Amino acid sequence: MIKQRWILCLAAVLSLSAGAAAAVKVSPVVIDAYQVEQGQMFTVTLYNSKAHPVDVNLEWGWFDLQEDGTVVLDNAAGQEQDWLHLPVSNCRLEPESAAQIQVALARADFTAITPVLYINLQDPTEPVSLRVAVLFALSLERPAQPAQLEVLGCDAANLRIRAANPNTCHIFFDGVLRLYRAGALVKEVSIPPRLILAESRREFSLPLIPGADQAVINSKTAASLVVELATGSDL
Amino acid sequence: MLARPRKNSPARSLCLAALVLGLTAALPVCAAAETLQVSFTVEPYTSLELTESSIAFAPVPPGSSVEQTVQAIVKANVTWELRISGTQSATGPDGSGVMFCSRIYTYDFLGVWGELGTIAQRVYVNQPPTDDQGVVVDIPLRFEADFNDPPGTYQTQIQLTLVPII
Repeated sequence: MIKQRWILCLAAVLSLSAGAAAAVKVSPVVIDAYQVEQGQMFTVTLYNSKAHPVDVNLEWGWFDLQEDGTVVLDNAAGQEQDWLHLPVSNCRLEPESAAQIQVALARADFTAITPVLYINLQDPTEPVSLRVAVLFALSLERPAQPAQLEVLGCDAANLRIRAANPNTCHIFFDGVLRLYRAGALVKEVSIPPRLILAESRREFSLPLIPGADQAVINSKTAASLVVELATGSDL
Repeated sequence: MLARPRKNSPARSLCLAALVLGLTAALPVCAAAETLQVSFTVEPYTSLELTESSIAFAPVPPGSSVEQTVQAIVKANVTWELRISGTQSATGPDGSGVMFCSRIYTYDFLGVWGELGTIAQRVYVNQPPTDDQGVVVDIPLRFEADFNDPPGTYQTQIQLTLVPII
């Protein structure tokens, strides 16, 4: 019996059906705003570069950030998602044309939220469906305090730091890392903006160069940090 | 060839005088020119595109596996991550909806074959921004047939999600 079933299953195939290759272009994919107000509008532009129309489905979810910067996506948006209002949940993108999706802030009774808008290419006959996440970081207030930096450790190649955001709003941490040797500046590294959610922390790894004995981090959104690297071991 | 001599007409003299006056009047304006601050914003952008219109695994007996690669083109001016998820529901050989027991795996960023399910697998993480040509990414898939699925052709769907990293 088992042998017979095995023979029958020899023909088992998993096939993903054929269809036209899909594509979706989205901008912006990150929307951050302070001092948001009820009625405020945010615009997301979708573009279909293909020669055939594309149906798009829009869905809400939430995202969170782990300390290492990993974006954690939660597909199921709860009732509280009515903070944001979408005029449509489906739309059709005509060939080689763009569509603008207007998102309205229906309520502003929060301190900081992190919704995610999923742009789904809707075609059940496609073997692979495509989805682009648009991340929102919305805050009611502006930051009142700088982020606090602390050193987690360092080796010859990297300096690991942690930035803590004490504010009830999301912030972007960026700045400049300056490396010195015997008091002379030997390298300057730009730190690109990184989101730190309200009242949370995030870890970063910054590049070092051999021979540098001091690292100084300056940022408009964080307190300055001076790190002596002379020993080269973990601090 | 000799150049034709020009005549000095009163109208020409008047025009010349007006021009000189105009230039003289404009001189202080030019000297007082100011620099203009120009601001612009480049929006964070991503694009996700499939290179192939179809994917089919080769027929395979239960207990065996077969591999296939999905290709996509990613364009982004921000750091990005690509995730893939799947489902255990499919259209069965008779066209009806079925749950299948066979498994689809993907090769994740840690170099491990992880099963495709509703929880997305991360296949590319912390990828740098691309140029305007984008980057072609290969997403290896492995199909492992199960004894509990009757023979036939099944159709299921997988989903690629492009996530900006901020």
